[in-house]
Amino acid sequence: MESEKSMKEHIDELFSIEIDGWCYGIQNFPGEIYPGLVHAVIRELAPSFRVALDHSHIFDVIDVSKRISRAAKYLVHEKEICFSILAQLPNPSILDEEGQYALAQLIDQVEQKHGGALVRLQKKWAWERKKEAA
Amino acid sequence: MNPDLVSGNRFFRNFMAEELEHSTSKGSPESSDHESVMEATQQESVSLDQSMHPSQEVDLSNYTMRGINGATVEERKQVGVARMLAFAQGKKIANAPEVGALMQQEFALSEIASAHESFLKSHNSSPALQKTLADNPDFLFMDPAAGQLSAIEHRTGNSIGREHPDLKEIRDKAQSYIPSELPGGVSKDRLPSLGLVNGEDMRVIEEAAKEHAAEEHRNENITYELRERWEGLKEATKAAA
Repeated sequence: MESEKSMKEHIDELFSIEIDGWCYGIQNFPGEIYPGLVHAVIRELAPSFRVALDHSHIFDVIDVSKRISRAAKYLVHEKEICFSILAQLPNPSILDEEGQYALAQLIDQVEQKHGGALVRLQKKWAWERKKEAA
Repeated sequence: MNPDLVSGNRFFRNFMAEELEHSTSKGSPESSDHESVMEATQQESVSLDQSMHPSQEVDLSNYTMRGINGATVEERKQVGVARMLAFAQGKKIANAPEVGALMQQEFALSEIASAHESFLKSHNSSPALQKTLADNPDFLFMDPAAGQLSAIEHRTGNSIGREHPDLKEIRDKAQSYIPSELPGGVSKDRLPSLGLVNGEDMRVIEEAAKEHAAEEHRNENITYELRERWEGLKEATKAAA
């Protein structure tokens, strides 16, 4: 419980350190980085994105994308990373109202910067709902 | 008021309205929007099909693109179908630099996926293949010009499981980078993407490994089916020419 409280209080710092760690890992990977590996790292970060949402931490999606793209020597475009991050976020139907609000603000950052984020995610969610219903 | 907050609020209202609309219409088989997209895609598939010619190059310059952000849904669908058909017929694609960027850099182009889905349905592909296409959002990265499903997997990391050696190496380095003393006295094992030591996380890893094995098996079948399908289509095109 105490640990959970500390996590909540320091979520912004912890999240940033975690991203820094993965960026360091990518930068110092001795082999050749390839797009699939970068996307795999982003998938690994899915639980962290979820925890950030659960604690209503509105991280800077654009900045995180830039940092990952830079770490991968721009092999994967920042925009692609933005959308890949969005794809890891949970379906809003499983979030409470605060979580939905936080999610909306994350998506809005990408919507403002690149456009098309909401439309695509709505289609993805519609697909997921359709799959669930089937 | 902070403009970001205003923007967030507006977005949230729209978003909630959408969710409300969904919850009240739950139970309907498909939204009318989806139906109209599919219908339009099918109509375009027919017209594009007719426009195909026997030369070895498909010129996409007719499909006016206004850059990645400016392309309309209809344009994206047209290009998606045209590329799919061109690839299926073993042709090269010319005059579509923006299309390449569009296909490679845009994530979750579900309109293109709808077009692909429609294409596959119209070519009588197997239900298993259709299902996989619908189930797997990573297929939205599909770049028909790449010519191989493995290229798609390579791009999206589809074939990379959590215990893949490359990923493990990056994770190890990330763990080595993170100090053992974190703000608030939080243990680094508690960091969600790195905390891999407790029982709950191990259970998640085991489940992921099982899913990955199942996915690999499924991908193998799909690769075979896709290649078989493309070969068949190429043969049919040659015969028709």
